[in-house]
Amino acid sequence: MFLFIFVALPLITASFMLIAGRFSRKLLPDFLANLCFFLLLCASIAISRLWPGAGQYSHVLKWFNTNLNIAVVLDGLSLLMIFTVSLVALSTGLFSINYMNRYGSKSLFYAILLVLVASMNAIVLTADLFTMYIFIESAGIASYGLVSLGGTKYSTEGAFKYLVLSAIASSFILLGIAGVFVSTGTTGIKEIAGSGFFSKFSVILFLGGFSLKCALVPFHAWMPDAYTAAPAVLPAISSGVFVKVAGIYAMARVFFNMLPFNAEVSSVMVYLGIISIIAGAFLALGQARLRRMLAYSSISQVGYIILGIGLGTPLGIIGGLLHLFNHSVFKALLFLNAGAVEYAAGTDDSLKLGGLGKNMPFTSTANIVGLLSAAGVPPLNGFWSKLIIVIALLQVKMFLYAFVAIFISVLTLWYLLLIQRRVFFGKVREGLQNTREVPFWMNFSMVGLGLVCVWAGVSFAPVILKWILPAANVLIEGIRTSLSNFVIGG
Amino acid sequence: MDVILLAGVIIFAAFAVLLKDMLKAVISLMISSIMLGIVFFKLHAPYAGVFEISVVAGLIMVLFIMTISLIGSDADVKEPAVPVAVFIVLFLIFSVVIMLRIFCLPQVSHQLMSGEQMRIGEVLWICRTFDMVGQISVIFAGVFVLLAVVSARRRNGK
Amino acid sequence: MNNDWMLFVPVLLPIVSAIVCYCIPENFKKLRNVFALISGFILFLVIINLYRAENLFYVSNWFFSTISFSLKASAFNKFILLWISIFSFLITLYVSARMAGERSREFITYLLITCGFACGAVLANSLLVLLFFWEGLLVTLYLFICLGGRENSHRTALKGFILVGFCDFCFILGVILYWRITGSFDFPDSPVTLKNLAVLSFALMVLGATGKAGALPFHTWIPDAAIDAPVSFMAFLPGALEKLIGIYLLVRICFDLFYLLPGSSASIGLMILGAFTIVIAVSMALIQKDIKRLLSYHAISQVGYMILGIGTGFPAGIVGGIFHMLNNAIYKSALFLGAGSVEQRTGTTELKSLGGLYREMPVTGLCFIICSAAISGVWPLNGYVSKEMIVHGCLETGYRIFAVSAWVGAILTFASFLKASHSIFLGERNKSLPQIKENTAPVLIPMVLLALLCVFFGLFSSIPVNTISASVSAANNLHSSTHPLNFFNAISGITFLCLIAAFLLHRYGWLKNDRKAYLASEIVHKLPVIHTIYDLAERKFFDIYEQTMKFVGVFSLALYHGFDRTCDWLYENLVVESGVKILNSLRTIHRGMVFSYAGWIFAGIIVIAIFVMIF
Repeated sequence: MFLFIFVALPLITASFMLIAGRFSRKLLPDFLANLCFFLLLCASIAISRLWPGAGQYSHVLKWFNTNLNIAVVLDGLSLLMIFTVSLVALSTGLFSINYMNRYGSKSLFYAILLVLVASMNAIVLTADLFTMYIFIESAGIASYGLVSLGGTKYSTEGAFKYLVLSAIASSFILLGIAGVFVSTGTTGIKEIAGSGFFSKFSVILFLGGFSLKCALVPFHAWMPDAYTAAPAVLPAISSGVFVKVAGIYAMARVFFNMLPFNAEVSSVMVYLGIISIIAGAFLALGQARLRRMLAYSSISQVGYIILGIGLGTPLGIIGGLLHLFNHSVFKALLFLNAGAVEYAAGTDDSLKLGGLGKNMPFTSTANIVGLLSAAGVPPLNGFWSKLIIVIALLQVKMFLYAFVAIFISVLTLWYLLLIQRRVFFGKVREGLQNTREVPFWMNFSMVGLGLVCVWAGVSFAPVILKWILPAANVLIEGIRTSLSNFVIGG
Repeated sequence: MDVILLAGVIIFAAFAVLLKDMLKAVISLMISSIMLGIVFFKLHAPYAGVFEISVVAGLIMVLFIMTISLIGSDADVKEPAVPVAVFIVLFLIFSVVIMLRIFCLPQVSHQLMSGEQMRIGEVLWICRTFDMVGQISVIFAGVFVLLAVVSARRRNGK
Repeated sequence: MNNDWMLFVPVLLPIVSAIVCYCIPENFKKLRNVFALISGFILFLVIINLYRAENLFYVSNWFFSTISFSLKASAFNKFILLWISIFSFLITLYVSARMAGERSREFITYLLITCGFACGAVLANSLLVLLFFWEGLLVTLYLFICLGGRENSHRTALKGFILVGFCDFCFILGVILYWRITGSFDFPDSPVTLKNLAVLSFALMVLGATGKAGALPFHTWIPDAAIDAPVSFMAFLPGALEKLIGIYLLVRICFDLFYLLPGSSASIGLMILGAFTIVIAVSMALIQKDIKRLLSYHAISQVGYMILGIGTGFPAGIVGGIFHMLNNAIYKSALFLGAGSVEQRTGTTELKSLGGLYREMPVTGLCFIICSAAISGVWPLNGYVSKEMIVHGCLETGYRIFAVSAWVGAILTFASFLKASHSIFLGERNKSLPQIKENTAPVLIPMVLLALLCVFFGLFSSIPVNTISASVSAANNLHSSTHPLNFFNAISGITFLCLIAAFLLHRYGWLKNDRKAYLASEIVHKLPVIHTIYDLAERKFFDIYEQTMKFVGVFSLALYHGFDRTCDWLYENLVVESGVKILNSLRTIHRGMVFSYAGWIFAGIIVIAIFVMIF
């Protein structure tokens, strides 16, 4: 029952949200939503304390001794994802206390955010492929709602594009599930893995569908438009966790724990990863708008994750998962910073900004931390994950890929420093002299995320041992099983 | 029969993308989804069928229609002909490839398919309760999003 | 040992105080400066304490027990550490008085962070830990140059960042190769012999270390930074710290990681690199008309001496090279600080518009002249001793040509510093300069201390020489008796002749150019009729000296345009232009059309399908 609160609590809070909105326009929704996120974070930390560090905990829900047929499964990978989701959700929730005042009804906003979080938790906790699909769909609708909250012409356009393209992704995934179901008669992940089923048909569709969800090149086009148009909270939570949960986590689950992981899937993932790394970085370089640039940067960074996981070696998986966590933290931070800049200066077009660092020291400092982390500068967290990925590449003798990975991380530093200089350094631009530092809660969440970046960088060994290694073991175990099946099968 | 249905799915999906009138496009997408749901039932996948019809064809389409009627012609982007043509060609190639693969899939024997004789209600309430939670979550999301879109439009209109 | 934790103090203390400094608001500027100074001083005390302690060693498993995080303080590390703290303190003192406003806050923050990272890099006992701090230094370099506040500062910062970044990249590759050879990132117990893959690894690592120190061919950012960056930055990083850690690393590479045999091809290669750096950079320095640019070229040329000395592989050369590094850090930062002091009072660093400042700025002038003499190798200052030792080392290898290059460098160095000191402090006072006063104490104290150090190390050279030879294992068997460092021997005679030659060269040139506008009054020069007469006169007095100087000038110019600027041009065109082209073409295909996006998606999935099916 305890695990199910990750789904139930946000949903129940969301249903109370509209009633709460009747009584108090701001205070009560703020309080309720953030309390819920805070409880979730506490719960995830508590579970990690109780967690033995290996194995799988599955549980079928009962209601007064009646079997409810709700099976929740927790293993290392789910735990990592739940922790990440709760962390980013809490920080965006805190950020919204001040930020969302400008975007109309707050109770509605929080309700959507809560549904999004509940759906992501459910994706992570479910043991059934089809349930996963439904929650991906639900989370997709919720993010669509967050995009359209922007209320401008661009945001409706971006939202529409997002809806159309993600509908394509959904149909790919659904077709893939159908393919699996036709052949095995079940949609339970464990049962499918047990049947030793493999079909190229489903592999192709899953690859396409989840790549669209991860925004890998060439499936990336929805991301920049949607992120530019929405309130900054959406990109923070979407790039921060939704992409990881609906794209990377689902992909890893499907290809490592459900279908046998083999060379062709591995090479497709590696190719997609490396193309995204390169194209995303170069596209980011040419952008003037903060959020658009960060969206492309996200594409590039997700490429690193997929590259690492797709290698299929233990070190690669560890690097990929560590980068997943790190990217959640620093990209959420950077998007929130972009939101703070827009909040304070009215625009996030870097060509119209300049010298904001003087009046906004906290935002500026947090942004430096975020960008250095994104670029992989020691001792911040991004450095370690990139280092591990590069070492993993060298281990399998992919020297060219390793070179590209290093080169692009230099490029990342370049474009992020460029934006930092344009926006925060230099002379204060005309008309921006009166910008003020953003309110307390926005600062609080940005500084908090910045500290997490530093913490995860400095004490990365405990982070790997406590969170990443159990998660990586789940995937490694999957590969091992499929290998042994292969050997037994002939 | 299956082939006709699948062809229908593809044709209506193509209409959905090609039609200039948004409302008609959405309706044809809805038809396409419903046909897909029927295909699922025929392929002995009652769960998938139920959710395809209820989730995709039902809720998302309502969402589409509401949004478009709210937006009006705002989101109408003029697109040059070449990308459209390229898209159609690629889409057709893809559909053909997928169709060919579908018939190559190994099929599980019908005795194993427990869901075959079940009614929709049984499937929903007894076997797939977690999916019901998902359904609830989708409905929540849909309702909230609609309210949010309406309020955003109203705020913007002022 | 229980006090191994002390190893973390030199790393963490500056970084923590940097953060505190950054947080102290502008209203409490004085408090901030005092705080920075105090923390600098505490760091100094801590390092003195470290110096006394036994060999400290800290190790912990960092990464699944395959890679260890280890810090170690051996004799050589502590020696370098000591000087890092001294220079950081002195520059902090200088900056606290000189810089105002927002810039000083950032400068002090970056300075302390740099100091902490440099300490970390020096203490690291594993190549990975070293890399960790090394890359951190790259970022502060960028931030430092950005502080210049000139129009081109950001461009120069980027240039420095990319050039040094490339060197670091080479270093990383070298480290990875080294890891392949030895299977570990730790500093080995016994050095690796130079053969096969090890040679490549060695070459890449040396490129990284010397590039950081500012040797050819990755030096082009330093002269630009001299103009675009704050002068205290020049005194701190290219003047002192980068030499200290760059050469420190070079020594570790040559004698701890690998085994550099005297007379081996690696040794010859290093010496050639050193000799070229000396000669090319010094001949470029000779024609510079701006004191900061002149100094920056010398900062490059002096690195050549150190590389030359260490490259010999003989104890005399090694100790000479390391001693020269120390000396260079001392007098070069003093010279930069002097230039900064002059710039602050007069507002210019052009030699043309300065002159005769000795009377108004006697302390600055005296320090500047002492340090000029030291860098030129005038007896009995410290530069003399270290250059002698390097020349001894060179001669010991049997290749006299390297000693000759060192002497050529000495001649041109002295000539250019005679020019600089002469035109700033001596000679007639430039009429256009405003009335000025001597600078304030915090500016002068660092310079005076450094100049005194120059004299002290010259007179009592055995103290540092013995410390160095005791702390570097490769140079343990150096005895002062085998290498006479006193004034009376044949080699010092040649050096002395070089100095005389340089003096004569300068005097002759000065006399010949006396009638040019250079030292004459500017007002008379600008009169229309006399101007043409001067021009004619100039052509008439076209003699050997002029020709030589012209040849040197043309040579330098050719180098400047042919080599220096070519590197520059390649950077501008290849990197920047091609980047812009790629970006534009990428941008044109992202126009926000659903159909083209959907088209890509289907193209993508078809490609995946084909790939998966064919596989």
